[in-house]
Amino acid sequence: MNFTGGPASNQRHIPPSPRIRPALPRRTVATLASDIGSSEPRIPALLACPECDLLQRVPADRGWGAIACCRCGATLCRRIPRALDTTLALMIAAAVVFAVANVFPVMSLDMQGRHNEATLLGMARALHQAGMTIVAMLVALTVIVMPGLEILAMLWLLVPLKLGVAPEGLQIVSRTLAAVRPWAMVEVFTLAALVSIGRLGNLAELHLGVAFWAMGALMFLFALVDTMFDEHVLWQHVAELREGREP
Amino acid sequence: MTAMAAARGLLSCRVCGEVNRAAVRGASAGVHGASAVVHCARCGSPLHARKPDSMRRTVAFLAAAYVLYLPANLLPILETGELGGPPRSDTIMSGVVTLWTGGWWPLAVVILIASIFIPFAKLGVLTWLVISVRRGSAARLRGRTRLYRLVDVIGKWSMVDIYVGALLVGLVRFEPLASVSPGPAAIAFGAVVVLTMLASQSFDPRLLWDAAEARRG
Repeated sequence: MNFTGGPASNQRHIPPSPRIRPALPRRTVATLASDIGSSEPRIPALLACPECDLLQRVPADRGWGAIACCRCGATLCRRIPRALDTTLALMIAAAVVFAVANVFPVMSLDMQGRHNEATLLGMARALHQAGMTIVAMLVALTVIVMPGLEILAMLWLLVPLKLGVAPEGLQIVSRTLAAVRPWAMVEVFTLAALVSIGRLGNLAELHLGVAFWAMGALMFLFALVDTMFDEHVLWQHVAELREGREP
Repeated sequence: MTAMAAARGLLSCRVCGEVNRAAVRGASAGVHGASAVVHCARCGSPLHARKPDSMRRTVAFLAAAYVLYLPANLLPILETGELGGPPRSDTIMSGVVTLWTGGWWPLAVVILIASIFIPFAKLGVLTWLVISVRRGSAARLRGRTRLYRLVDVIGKWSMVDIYVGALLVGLVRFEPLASVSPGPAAIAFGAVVVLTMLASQSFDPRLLWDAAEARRG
């Protein structure tokens, strides 16, 4: 490791990359101005591995994808072009799908002429009525509150950036986001819903509801965001935005 | 020869990833109790060389999880009532056996892995990691770091059984024909999942590397 001082300073004064101007009449050229950040992903030049604390320089010209620690293999950061723009798009979709998932039933059951359906909230309410309030809270937190907060925090951060301003309460929202993400368990719930089909299918007539499919879709949206969103890139962009404005 | 950030007086921010110099940023330090807390120059989050009180917190969460592990597995997690039949109660394991004998063996395997294997593996692996830090082990550092990462990722999948229970309780409400209610193990099992997740979140894998570094001298 050949490390020579000034780590924090040498990455903070990267000049903005020149915008590409093809030789066409201006009116016919689509503008890049509305992208969040430059289309080239910016990542810090020097990083310490979050899992083994090894200091390492991050090469600027390797391809796309996750950059792994050279000693322990942990993900240091992700270099994906337009990651923030794509994350914003996915999260807008997630907001719609999440709303649908909360309104419609996950499944319904018919037994001897009687009909019963369970929504996400109804599921938690049934646990509460059965005297298991703590378990009901755990279910409601991990399936409704935490995914909802994740979507909200992402939109809170990314919508202002899309409009070219630094978000309000950036630090607190960003920390909340990091704290919330491990507790959003949409994918686990989707697996559980599949297991429930097996357990209930022979007991009575089972119908899958809209929320079942919505949760499945939400699982894919969250998984996609997990492969590209990176707080480092977000902060790097905010730092550039502030530097561009303030001096 | 070390290239670890902390050994060079550098602190990386857990929120934004910025590498800060611990000494130079002293000007923006606030005082919390006896020790000065340094804040990240870019995002303002408090900086720590290692997660604060990592070992003590991990051990405390693990101990609590061990205590609840027994009731979680021995008490009934679901109680089913059917018209004409005696009410039956299932523990996690008997639920798996019922699924298996009922011909739903793929589901039995899912629940077996998620509810029995994963919590057990998490407790075992985290305990081993804590002991290996205490003993200053320098062997298989990469392997142990990867194992930690695996445990951290798979932890949430144990919630499957809780959600299946919640769906059954929410759906099967045909009294007196058929009904399902949660058993006391649901609380204990949910607590085990949450506690082991907190334990793995508070464990700092960098301590594994520190311990090895200290041994090498």
